[in-house]
Amino acid sequence: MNLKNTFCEYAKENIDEYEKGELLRKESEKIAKHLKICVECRRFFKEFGNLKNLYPDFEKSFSYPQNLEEKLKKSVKELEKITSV
Amino acid sequence: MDKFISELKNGDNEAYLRLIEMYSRRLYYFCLKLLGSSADAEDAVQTTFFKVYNGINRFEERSGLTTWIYKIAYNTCNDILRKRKNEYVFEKSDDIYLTVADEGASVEDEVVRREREKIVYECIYRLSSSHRRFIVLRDLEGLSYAKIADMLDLNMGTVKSGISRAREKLLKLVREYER
Repeated sequence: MNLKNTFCEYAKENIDEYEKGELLRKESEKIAKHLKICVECRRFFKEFGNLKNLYPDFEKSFSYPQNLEEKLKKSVKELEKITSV
Repeated sequence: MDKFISELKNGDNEAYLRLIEMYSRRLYYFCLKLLGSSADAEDAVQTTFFKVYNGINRFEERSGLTTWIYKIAYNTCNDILRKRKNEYVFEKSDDIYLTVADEGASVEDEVVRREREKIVYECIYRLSSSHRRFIVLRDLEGLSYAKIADMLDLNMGTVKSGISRAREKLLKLVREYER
């Protein structure tokens, strides 16, 4: 097993915790040290950091269908009629 | 909440109407993110509420009501995705609103940023649904690893590696697109 690749996986899997400062200090230091020597992981951390800021805001981009809630409420009332028969 | 769940289990329709008010909007956007189609998202929300209505007495309260409903919605979306012939479906939007423009950014910078945002949006829907689910659940919905594991019936290790692989795939697609 390639130890470097294993640590690359570990670093990438823990990027959220690393960036939020939620890892134990020792773990965080290991990742920081690894990022200094691993070009691939450094690239991943940088590019993912940029990518997160480019994620869409669905609530602003797409309108909520105004009649959906009414349709749902109507179907509950219909089910009520069926079940009460 | 316990009283509310009892009302739902007793078939109190007023409680159902409240449930619809509480969850329909959130579920619609959740399903839209997974499915990429507003028509399919509407269908998924309607089916989810139908399943909740019929299945509430099977809800054992081992997880919270929200988690249980989201799990039903997720499984409903998965059924829709399985039936699809073309996996790459996404809703067109004239304007994808994402980040707030940087103060002092030039018009040119702003145009470039908007273009990149559109690329990222499209690439999310060029991922396979098995990768996209991790991006949606973790990055767009902000769910914890534990909740994702519960929803997908996976262990935490598989969830963490799944998220990491999905992000790598997404970055690769964005790079190819921008080339």
